[in-house]
Amino acid sequence: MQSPPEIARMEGQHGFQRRFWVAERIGWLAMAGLVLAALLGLLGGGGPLGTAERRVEGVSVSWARFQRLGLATPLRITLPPGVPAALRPPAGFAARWRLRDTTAGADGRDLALHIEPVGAPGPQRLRLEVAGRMLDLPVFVWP
Amino acid sequence: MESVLRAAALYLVLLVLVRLTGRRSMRETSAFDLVLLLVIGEATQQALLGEDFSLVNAVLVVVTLLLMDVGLSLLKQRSEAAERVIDGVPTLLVADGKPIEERLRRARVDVTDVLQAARIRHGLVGLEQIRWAVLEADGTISIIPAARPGDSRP
Repeated sequence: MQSPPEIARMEGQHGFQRRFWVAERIGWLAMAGLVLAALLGLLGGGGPLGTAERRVEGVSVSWARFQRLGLATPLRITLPPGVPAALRPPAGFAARWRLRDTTAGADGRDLALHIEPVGAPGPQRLRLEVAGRMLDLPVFVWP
Repeated sequence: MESVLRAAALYLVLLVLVRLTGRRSMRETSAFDLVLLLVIGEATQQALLGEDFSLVNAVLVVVTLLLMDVGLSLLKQRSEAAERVIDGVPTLLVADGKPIEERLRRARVDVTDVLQAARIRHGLVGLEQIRWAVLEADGTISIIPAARPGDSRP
C-alpha cells in the first residue's frame, strides 16, 4: 500500500525519534539521580551525607559539606570547658562568607552560627578562628 | 548581568526538563497540569529574581526570557535539526488500523487515547476505522480515517 509523502517523511524521521526516546530515558535517570543526591544531602540543604564533623584541638565542629550560594547554613561548635568563646574571621572571609547570626548555649560552650556562602560557587575552604584554633573546613558551594 | 544569566540559564534548564518529560505530560492540559505549572512558576521565581525585586530587574528577566524565545524560534526556522531537537517530530502510532505497540509504549500513549481522539475528532469507534494515527510534535493525536466502502482511497 502506497503511503502519502507526509507519512513517508514522518517514517523517515523515526530514527531520530527512537534516539530521542533513549535520550529521554537517560534524562529521566539523571532527574532521578538528582533527586536521590538531594535526598542524601549532596546538593546542600541538609541530608544524611551532607554534614561533616571534626575535632580540632578539643574544639568540635559540625558543618554542612555542601552548601548553596545565598543560603545560610548552620555551623555548630562545641568548645572545651573553660575556654572563652572567641570568634575571629580571617582576612578575606567577608568576600566569600556572610555570618548571619551567632547563638551561644547557656554554658557558653555550644555555639550555633549561620553562615551564608556569598563568593564564587565550587570547592571552597571555610576558615574561621575559634578560641585560638583555626578551623579550615572544606565546603562545596552549589550555585 | 546576573539577572540576564540567571534568566537565560533557567530558560534552558526548563526547556530541557520539559522536553525530557515528553509530549505526554503536556498533551492535554488538565487541572493538575495547571497547578503544576503554577508551582513551577513559584519555585523558579526566587531563582530568577534573586533578592532584587526592583522593576528594572523584573523587566530585565522578562526581556531576557522573551528574547531567548524569539532567538529559539529563529533558530528553529533556520535549522531543521534544531527544530527536531527542540520541538520533536510526529510519530506514527497506528497504521492501517493496527496499533504499533512498541511506539505506543515508548511514547506513553495507549490505544484508548488513540480511540478517544478518533471518537472526538471523527466520530470513529474502532481501530479498523483508522488508517493512520499520528502523535504530533505538540502532543495531540491526529487521526486519518480509513476509507469507507464506496469512498475512493487517496
